[in-house]
Amino acid sequence: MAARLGARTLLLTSVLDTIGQMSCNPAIGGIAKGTVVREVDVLGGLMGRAADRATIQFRMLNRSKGPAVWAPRAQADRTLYRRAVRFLLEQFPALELSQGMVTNLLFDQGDTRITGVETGDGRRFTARAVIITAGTFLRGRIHLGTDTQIPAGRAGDQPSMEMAQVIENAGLIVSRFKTGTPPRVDGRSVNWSQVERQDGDNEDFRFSFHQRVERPRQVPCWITWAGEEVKDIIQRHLKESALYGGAISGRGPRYCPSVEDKIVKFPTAKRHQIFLEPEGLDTTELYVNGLSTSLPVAVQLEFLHAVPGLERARMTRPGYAIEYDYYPPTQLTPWLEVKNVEHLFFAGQINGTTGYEEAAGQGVVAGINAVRRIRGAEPVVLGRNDAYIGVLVDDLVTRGVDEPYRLFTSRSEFRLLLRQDNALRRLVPLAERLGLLTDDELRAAERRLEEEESALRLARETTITPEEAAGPLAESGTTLTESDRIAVIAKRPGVSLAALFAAAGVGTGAAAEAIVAAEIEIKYDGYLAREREAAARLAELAAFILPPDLPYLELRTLATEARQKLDRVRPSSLAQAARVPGVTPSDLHNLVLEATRWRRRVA
Amino acid sequence: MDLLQAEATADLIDAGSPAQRRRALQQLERGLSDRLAALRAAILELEALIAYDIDFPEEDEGPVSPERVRGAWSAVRGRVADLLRTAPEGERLREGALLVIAGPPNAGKSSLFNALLGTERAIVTEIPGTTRDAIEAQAVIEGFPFRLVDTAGLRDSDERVERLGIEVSKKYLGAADLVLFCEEGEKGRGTGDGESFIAACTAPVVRVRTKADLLPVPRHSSPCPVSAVTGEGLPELRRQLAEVAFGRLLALGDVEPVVTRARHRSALERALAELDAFWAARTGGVDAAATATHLRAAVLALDDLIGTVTPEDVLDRVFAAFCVGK
Repeated sequence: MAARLGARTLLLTSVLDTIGQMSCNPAIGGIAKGTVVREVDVLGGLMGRAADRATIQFRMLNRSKGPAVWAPRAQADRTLYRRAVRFLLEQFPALELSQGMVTNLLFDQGDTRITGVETGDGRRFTARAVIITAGTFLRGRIHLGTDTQIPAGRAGDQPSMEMAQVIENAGLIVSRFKTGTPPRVDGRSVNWSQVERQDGDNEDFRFSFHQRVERPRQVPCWITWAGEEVKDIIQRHLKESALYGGAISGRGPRYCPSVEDKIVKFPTAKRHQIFLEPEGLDTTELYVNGLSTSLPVAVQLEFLHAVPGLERARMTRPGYAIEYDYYPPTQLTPWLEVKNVEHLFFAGQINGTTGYEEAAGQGVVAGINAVRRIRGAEPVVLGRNDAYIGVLVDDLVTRGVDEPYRLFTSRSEFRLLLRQDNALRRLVPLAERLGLLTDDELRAAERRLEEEESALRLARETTITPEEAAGPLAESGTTLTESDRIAVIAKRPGVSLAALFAAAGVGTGAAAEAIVAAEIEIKYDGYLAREREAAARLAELAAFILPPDLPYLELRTLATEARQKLDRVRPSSLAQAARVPGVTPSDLHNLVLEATRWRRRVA
Repeated sequence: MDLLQAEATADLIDAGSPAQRRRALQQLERGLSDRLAALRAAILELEALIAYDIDFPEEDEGPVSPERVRGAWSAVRGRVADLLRTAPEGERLREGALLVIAGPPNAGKSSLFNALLGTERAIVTEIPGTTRDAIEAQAVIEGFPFRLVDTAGLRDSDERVERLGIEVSKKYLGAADLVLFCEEGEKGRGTGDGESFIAACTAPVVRVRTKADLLPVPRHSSPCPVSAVTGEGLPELRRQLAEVAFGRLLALGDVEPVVTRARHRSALERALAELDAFWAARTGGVDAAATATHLRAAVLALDDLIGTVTPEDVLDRVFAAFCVGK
């Protein structure tokens, strides 16, 4: 992002060949995450463009649940993805790449501002701003069972030990999280007759609004199940699991649990679904999604063999759990700058999140704001009603995390407003203002939005007769008694706008995606209005700015818990204060009075 | 202390009857707060079922069954409606039930008014103001607060309903929680005027036959005979008045929470309307994501009473109820 804004930027990483390496499952997108990929794309990020170049299977999740929650998800060829990221990065003239493990951070006198970094091989880079995106590398430790522990950033990579110490010495609170991966198997050893084939959608979807690249060849995934036998094996060996044997202290996520977790916490579930996901086009290796584990290698092999289709599977890599440092993100500003070290930014798992998409979203925010800070511009903060990225960052810096944070639609109070189809509409104005898009990209985006507008206009102006509407209405089980406007008919559940246009003989000249976006605006009209109202109320609270130096601990009319929590978070507005856990409505009421009084006193 | 407890503290200070004190204490000890928190949790759990389907489309358990959603919805809807039904008597409990005494001239209304007050040592005060069309006094009957209104001793009769030959304060009649209709001995029985007055009353009417000491009638005849002189029939009358004005509260006892303010009632009404809108949308084929906005609105309505909602609350329930992730 920084290079896109024209700042001289250095990308420093311990192994250059691993830029764009997917550490976990070979997929991009999914529920809420797919929307983030599109938001990142509108703001000039590369994730969507790289994913489009690596997509070997595409599915629109939630297809049956209405367009508001459609979620694009792509299986990615790991090698193609890595190559695409490297290729796309090298298009930026202002970006330099360099290999080296950062072992020290440089600060000005008084340690209040970062001034550069040093690498293990003795090089020193000065910088006006530094963004650290260390993933799971900070004091990373891999666990295989209770006996085997390997210091590593991920399997095969050295951890970052020195930098972790330097950050801790700078006064940041450190905590530990754990996450895990499943084993991988050789596809040649799979009994395909025992597994169910799952093909992708035929849809010609691309994550990127800006580029439409050719997709690689499409391949299927495979579904099987872990049943009673797997359960028995794991229960028998539970004590040997790093997680249940007590070797791991870091807290793991609730939503991506290891197979041990699933069996212990939900003992009544008879079987657990497993997806065999291809690692790439030029390899037979498969990622066994659903069997994340920290059990010893021998036990992993034993339970793999109890899975239908994997009876004779050869394990290419074992699964493992990894524990790593993160810094509780309430230590960050809403633009991801470390509060007590100016110009130092954190993005990704270092902030306690999980997921490629969550990391990319934070990267966009940190990149934009690092440049703005060194240029003396006001930081940019995305609102909760602007983007899932806004929800993500606000949750992090306001509420903190107590498990690796992942996005869900449920994290947002504006599920209908934050859709994958309208990312352009939501964010193009900001991207334009910040200069994040090229002229070509901007023109294409505006053209696409105009198509949507004209589709909406046509729908509102064009009348359709009962005879014409009969076809499009058939599936909804409704009929039309007299002619009516297309926009009125398209409100009915299950009635497609594109089909109505076709039946009425209206040529819109708009892209299919633009028509779907227009359809959603029509269908959810009333509900969208409600959410926009709620967003406006939130904006009112957000407009009440809280002084950064408000002495919360001395505000006697607030409850003790609220005083302490607010002191730690130091919210920038009343809206943010309202989301701080432990702050009640009566605290908020008193906070308004206290802040007003305090302002008058210091003025 | 939450807002409901703060209100209860004020109610406790103002309490003039045992029932008010008990109710305020119950609310102070989080009786209502806990119930609202439980309803909020139940709505969030219902939303979690919807959220689960949206956020975890490919999980082991498959989609949530329609019966499960229906069951969860109808259970929580019923509970909100139950609590809302306590509102009329709950608000009456804070204000005192307005008991308006009516009857033909010289039916013994004033004597009964004094008898109902005297035994409970209530203080008679004249309503301040200019019209002086009635006398109001507070009384505690069977532990419950009442405001008795009588037309006794009024010189100015403009405000009275006299067309039917019935004396009553017109102004108070419309606001009455219950009407105590006095008839004198045998005379009152069957007078057409009395019957049509009673039929026109919107509030429940309790009928008594006054001056039972003068014209003895069998004890259990109807209307209930009372005597302000001997006290005959008064205990039965008090019980009946409490039963008519506060029957639901009596049946609930002191354990079940009750809503006592218009603020509570309007929030619950909003929550109930959103729950109904959710169901209408869902059965009308509206997408899950859109229907869920009604549940969030219902939760927000309850939050106005007790606290703030965060999306995290919903996810907590998803994770507690489902095995998710791969």
